[in-house]
Amino acid sequence: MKTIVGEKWATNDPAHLIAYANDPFPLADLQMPGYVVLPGSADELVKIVRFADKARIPAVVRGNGGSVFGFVFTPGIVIDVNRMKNIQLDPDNWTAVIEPGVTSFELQKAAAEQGYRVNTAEPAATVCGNIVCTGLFSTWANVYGVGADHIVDMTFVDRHGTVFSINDKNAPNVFGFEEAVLPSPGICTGARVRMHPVTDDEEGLLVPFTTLADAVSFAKDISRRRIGLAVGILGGHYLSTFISPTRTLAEQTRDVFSGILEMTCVVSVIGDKYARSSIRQMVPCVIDSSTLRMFMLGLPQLVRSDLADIVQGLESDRPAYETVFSEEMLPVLEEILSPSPETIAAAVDEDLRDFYEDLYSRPHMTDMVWLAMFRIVSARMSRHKHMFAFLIYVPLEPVDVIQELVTSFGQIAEKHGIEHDLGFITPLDLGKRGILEYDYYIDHTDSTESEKIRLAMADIEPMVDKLSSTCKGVTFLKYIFSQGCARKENFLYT
Amino acid sequence: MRQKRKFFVYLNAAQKGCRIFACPFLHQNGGDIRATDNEITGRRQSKNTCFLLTGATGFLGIHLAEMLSQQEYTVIILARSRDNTAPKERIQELFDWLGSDGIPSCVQVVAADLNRSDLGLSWTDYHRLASRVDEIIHCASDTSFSERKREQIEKANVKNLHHLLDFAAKSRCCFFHFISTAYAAGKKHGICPETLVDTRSFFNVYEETKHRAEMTAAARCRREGIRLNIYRPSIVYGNSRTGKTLRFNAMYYPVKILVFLKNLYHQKHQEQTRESAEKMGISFGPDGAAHMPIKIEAAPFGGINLIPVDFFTAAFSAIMETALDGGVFHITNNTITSVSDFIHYTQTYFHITGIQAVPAEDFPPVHKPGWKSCSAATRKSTGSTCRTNVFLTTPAQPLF
Repeated sequence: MKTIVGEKWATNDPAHLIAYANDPFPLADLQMPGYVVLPGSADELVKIVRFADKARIPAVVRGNGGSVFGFVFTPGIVIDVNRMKNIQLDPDNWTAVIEPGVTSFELQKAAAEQGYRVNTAEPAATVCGNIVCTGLFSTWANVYGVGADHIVDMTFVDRHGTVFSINDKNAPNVFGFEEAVLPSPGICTGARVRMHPVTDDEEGLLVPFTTLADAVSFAKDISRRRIGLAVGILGGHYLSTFISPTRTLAEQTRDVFSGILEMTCVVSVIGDKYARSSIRQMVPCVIDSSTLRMFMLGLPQLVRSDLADIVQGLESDRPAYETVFSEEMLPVLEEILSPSPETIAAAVDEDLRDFYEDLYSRPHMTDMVWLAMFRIVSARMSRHKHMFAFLIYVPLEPVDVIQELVTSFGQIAEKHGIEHDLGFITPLDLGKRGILEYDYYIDHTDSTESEKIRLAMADIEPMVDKLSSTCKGVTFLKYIFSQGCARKENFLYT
Repeated sequence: MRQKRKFFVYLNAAQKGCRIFACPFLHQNGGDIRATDNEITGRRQSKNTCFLLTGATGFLGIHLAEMLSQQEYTVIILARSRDNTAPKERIQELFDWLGSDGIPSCVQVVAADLNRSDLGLSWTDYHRLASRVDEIIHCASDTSFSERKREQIEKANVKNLHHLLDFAAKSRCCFFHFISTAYAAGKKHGICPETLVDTRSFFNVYEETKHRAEMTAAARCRREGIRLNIYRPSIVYGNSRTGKTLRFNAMYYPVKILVFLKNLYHQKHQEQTRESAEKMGISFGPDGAAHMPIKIEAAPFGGINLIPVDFFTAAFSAIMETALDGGVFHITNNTITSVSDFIHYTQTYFHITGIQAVPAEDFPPVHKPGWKSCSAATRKSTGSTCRTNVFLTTPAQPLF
């Protein structure tokens, strides 16, 4: 392998191998690979695969460090694509040609510099790997779709070393879908992915709701009306965690959101000025980008102030958030929160305050559009415990299906003593379908917690499979794994 | 059949102007009453009456518990634990707040839950309790006005009453004292008699459920031969002598907001960051007095019917001891405190100027969304509005 990639890029040194022996997946044990190799080009990658096939050594590909599902372990060769980071933007075709080591952050940054956007996953995730494994979903999937929607072309090398483009007439059909756990079509050696145009008037807003049913109904409706770009229903845990720099503050914020402000969930929307104007006409209350910024920079004051006492005394047929975020109240709210980088930095340990002050002095960390594009704060989801995300494609109508799933996930978690909450729901295909994430939180280093998740999985899989068999549009993401290039219509409308 | 009679009770000077007015009605066409007047008065005079009291963790309830204990009655309080605080601990804290030296010996706290048909008691405890109770004072209530909380309010004010009445029926209870509200007549205009009112229109779900509860209690008590007194206080506030109050809600709430705002901007003023206050038209005099141009929505000539809690308990006691026929009793104030007077007191006491009571028309119209949520579409229409009958409407709309 050293003759293929060079002396420096192949090793069987345990000091290096150990770095590839683990990931946070609680149900997989450590497994040391025999070899690690880092090809620098598609050609080298193909040669490695052919070598492995000929030598009958199992090989897996690994992206930028790891997966969270235990998929990247082997006693054989781990092929790390971290050196393959070439990006070529093709603005004339609104596409980007990328190598498999390119991460979401890197591609998004390159696209954004040219005035475009790509639909990407968490910043450290490799784009190609994410497409192949999951079909790549985010709140932008509302308009940018999932699966095959993201790609113009992709090249693979199969396990025997045969290279094919998915657009070849004779290539394996990666666009189809079978409801089964299948192997991936091969190792992706490169992809031409779509870029999307951006207008200069995009901003984010949050629409709060007291019930999940109302939030789903609203998200479905704006998706159907083609209002907005990225649309996602966020649960209380998600939202409070995203905007809070510490776990403690997140928990306090969540209590204020649900207990005081009666915000059970929000619909997060990124849209141009016309979309935002439409939404303002539709609902009684929106939290616009400037209010959200104020809120984010003043969070420590929110949880400390007497505001809770004042708000709890309101007797109105309107939810408390409508009052608090009403136009008349915003100047008062600003006085209460005293929003500033210094205020938010006060929430972190003293030795970090200067850093946080500097961080929050920049516009990015309070800019919903930037945050939704780069998804930096998604890392906060797992800051106290490993997040075990269950993803299900669902119909948005009737909402009972979603409610049944949410209730069932909650009940199973409670039964096994696992922390849990709704993650997000994003509408797809004009609101006809959506993708739902429900999150369990466990300490993956604690074997008793791992056992809990193992037992919970035994309840969850039949529950989802049963619902899937009786309800059109319900598909467990585990069946999409490795079929991420499929046309969404093939799994959304089964 | 008992003869109808009316009586007035005037209390001492501190409570002058407050009036109790009774109209017995409850045992007409009813079943046999469970105890005679003599039996009731005899038991009470010998302090052998055992009262079961609900709602003692609330403002009125704890004052009633104190009053009954001072009169050396046996009182059994039903209470739930909350926020990891045991029922007894909660009651203990309230007696401490009242200045008592612990829970009086004649008061017993029983952990119970009115949400449950068995009151959350075992079969044995339920029946043991039933065999002890002579009279029940039902003070537990959800005083929220919000239509959004209808289910919760209906449960607290109507469904739970059924549970308690079932218990009363199975117990030796001969007298049920129900704390209702002077606003149980809802939107009905004109003179409001002290009798059950036939009305179907209410300002809010609280009034509606209290009205339904009165009807429910009257029908069930009549059937069971249990005497029923319905007490209809208006808005009860703190002690007339000490000013002490358990919670700064209801009529205190808007005052609390004003003080909150004053303190908020005063702090900024002291920190020399006056810009935002000035933008809002808020300024401070050298003596710390605040000028805050705030409009409060109030109906023209609107006022508040207030009674102090010590008047309420005294009136309750007087009615309970003397009105054995059962009846409806308004415990209200003959003098209405006008909103402008209330504002005047508040401004004077807290050194604030600029507060104005204005009609609803002075406020910009509330934005009406075009999109209907599914919960709004399916929400039961009751004809209720969110207007409170206290004195402030939509306190969330201050204009500066």
